[in-house]
Amino acid sequence: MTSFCPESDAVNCAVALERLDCVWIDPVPDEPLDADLSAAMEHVRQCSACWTTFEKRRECDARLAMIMQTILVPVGLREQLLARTAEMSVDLNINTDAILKTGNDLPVNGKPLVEKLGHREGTYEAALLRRRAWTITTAAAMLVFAASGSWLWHAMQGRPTSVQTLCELTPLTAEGLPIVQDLSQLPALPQSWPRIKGLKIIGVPCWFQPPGSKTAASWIPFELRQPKSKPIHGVLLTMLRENVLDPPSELMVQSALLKYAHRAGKPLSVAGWSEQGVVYLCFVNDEPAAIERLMKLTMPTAA
Amino acid sequence: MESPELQQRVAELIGQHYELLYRVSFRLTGSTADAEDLTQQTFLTAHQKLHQLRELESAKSWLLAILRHHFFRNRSRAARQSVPLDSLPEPSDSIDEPTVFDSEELQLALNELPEEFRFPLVLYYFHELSYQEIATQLDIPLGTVMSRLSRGKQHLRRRLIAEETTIQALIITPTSSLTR
Ligand SMILES: [Zn+2]
Repeated sequence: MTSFCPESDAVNCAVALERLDCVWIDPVPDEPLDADLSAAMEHVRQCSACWTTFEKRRECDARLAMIMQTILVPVGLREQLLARTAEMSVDLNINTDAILKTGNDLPVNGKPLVEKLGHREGTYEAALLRRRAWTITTAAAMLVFAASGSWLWHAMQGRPTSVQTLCELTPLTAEGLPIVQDLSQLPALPQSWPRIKGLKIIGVPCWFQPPGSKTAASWIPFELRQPKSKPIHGVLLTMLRENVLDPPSELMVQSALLKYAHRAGKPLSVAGWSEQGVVYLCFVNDEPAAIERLMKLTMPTAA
Repeated sequence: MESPELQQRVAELIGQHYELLYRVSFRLTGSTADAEDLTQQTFLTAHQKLHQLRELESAKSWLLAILRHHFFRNRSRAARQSVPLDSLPEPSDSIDEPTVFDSEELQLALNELPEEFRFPLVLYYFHELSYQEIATQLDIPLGTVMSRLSRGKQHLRRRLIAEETTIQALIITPTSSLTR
């Protein structure tokens, strides 16, 4: 890279940057560059002003993509969709013609969709849409993953709770727990979590308030799915460090495992650690090996 | 296709793609309820038109095309609250400083974009379709997609950077309300 902007280039700075705005180049393009894009890339590599902008945009894009994709999927959505389409199967059997004679084709292999599908007013579809009866629709579907932890906390001060109490009393299902209505009040997730592939928040965050304590913890269900490994389902409990009587140390895999027990006949492993003033307790309904795998990924250097 | 077989194939499509479709729907519509509706509309139409899907590998782009169809049709019926096209900034070569923003801020900025800009932008950030595929889906020239992506991205950068002060202030005042 040189430190001047070549005036004689086939593309100028603005054109080069605009062109490169439409492809992912992180760190290499995710698709072959055509002649125009190659020229733009060549320009940017040789122009220090463009390169600086390009690098910052790329960084910004990576964060935008991460936050853009981090959305909680409502619990039960899959089942609801299955039920709706199954109901439709029944309807189709009753009145196949009425539905199939909508005439227009939908795109296959990316061909444009013909614009006029049958309107659904008064159809099963409209009725189904009106009948939305999700149990958790009131919960917003976003979890704030802002890397710096742009979060607020319920300022509920009370007697600190012991880790032992949290280990024993934290529920493993959301039943009866109040839903977090304002997700901006959630603490940041463990720093490495947004970067762990296959790790997702799979339900709706709730508040959990241990008995005898005025302090609420956030209760976040998650799932880790990775190739060739058994999926891990669990709950992440987070509390401000000052509200925990005996907060665990900073994250070290060996010291993170707190407890291995059985609850309701199933194995239960708990790991705990502290990060930037927040205590994280991770509950997994499985043998310790599962949570050890997760902890290794959670280690700051591993992710 | 017989009904049980049809339902089985639809169930497979749902299992494989519902999360992606919901997330894309959420970013397009900006609300949980609308995203659920859009996801449901997409799968109901997919169910209805499944005979047109010849290759399972193309299922994702096929579903996204159905989703796009419903999105634009729903939006055309709803009152538009987005900013006019020509009020979007022209791409500039100014240096964009990295900033702190969260999911909600991002959504607000997305909501301000006209649907024609929002759709390619969301798909771009989900890494699901290339700009060529977006152009094919929207049936618009490549240059138009490039321009919309660039201007849309510029809008996000400006909006999210412009709000940096507000967000930073919220971070350091943890007892204040987020209500704005
Ligand atoms: Zn340049």
